Amino acid sequence: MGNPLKSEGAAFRWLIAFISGAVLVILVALLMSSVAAALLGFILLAMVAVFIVKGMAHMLGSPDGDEDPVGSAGDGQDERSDESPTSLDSSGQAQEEPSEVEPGTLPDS
Amino acid sequence: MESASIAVGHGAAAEHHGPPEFHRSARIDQTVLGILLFILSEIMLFAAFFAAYFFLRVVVSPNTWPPTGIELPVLIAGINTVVLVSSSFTIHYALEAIKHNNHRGLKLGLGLTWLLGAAFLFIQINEYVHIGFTPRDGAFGTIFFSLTGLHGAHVFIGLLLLTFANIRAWRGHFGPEQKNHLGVEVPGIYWHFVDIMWIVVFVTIYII
Repeated sequence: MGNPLKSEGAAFRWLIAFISGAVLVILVALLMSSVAAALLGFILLAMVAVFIVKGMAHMLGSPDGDEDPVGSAGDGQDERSDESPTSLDSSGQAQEEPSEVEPGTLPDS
Repeated sequence: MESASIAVGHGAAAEHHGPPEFHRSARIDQTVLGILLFILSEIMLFAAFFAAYFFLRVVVSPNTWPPTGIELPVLIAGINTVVLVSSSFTIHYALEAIKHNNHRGLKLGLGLTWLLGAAFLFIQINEYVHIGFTPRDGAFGTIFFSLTGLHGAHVFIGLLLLTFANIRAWRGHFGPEQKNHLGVEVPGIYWHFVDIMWIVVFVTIYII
């Protein structure tokens, strides 16, 4: 139906959809019962809520959705394995990962 | 900064690959984000009132709703609903008219929308006067006036926006290009939102 935040025409189509849903709920309330109408109304509103949340997720995007994952650069330089516990510092020099127990100290018991 | 300078170096037509400007998002336009946050906050505001309504109705007094002796004017509210929904059609007509460079249609549509909105408020105030209970008369009175009054306040704000749109239309400020009729489009979006909220309020309070 389009994004109602960007276009009045899309908002108008949403309004028509709400009018249709309201007519349905009113008919159910008149022909059956208020409880059935309320249930139908909740179901319709829940469907709208799901639609809105999905639309917002699509509009805002995932925070990391378009970023390259680590190691996918293709040059192999970012690839890390568990066998080599080294990392690069800010100047690009390889460093040893700090061990759990610093030399010259005793581990906590 | 480096990527930004590279983008500038390739000329204005080149795509900007650097980080967005300060206080800007790369994922969503700032105006759309502003409207989104506004509409979401409005939805949450109405949702809080509806939560109170259903709590009172289902939990507090499930067997006597509305309380004995209170009868809501469903017919008058129904007519008011038709009036308000009609105003959405007229503002849609106004916008379609200006898109086709029809200034007379724009003025007619906006004027009718304003009149229908004012008629809605007038009928609602008249309903308040003759309804036979006040916000002090129990929880039902409180939530009834709160929900319908909250919506009425939104209609009033919409009428203010429409007043400005009408004045600008008579001064010839609007044109067929989209950037030249935003002053009608944005109040139109707001007006449709107000209409949708009234439909939910009407069905909840008067019908179900």
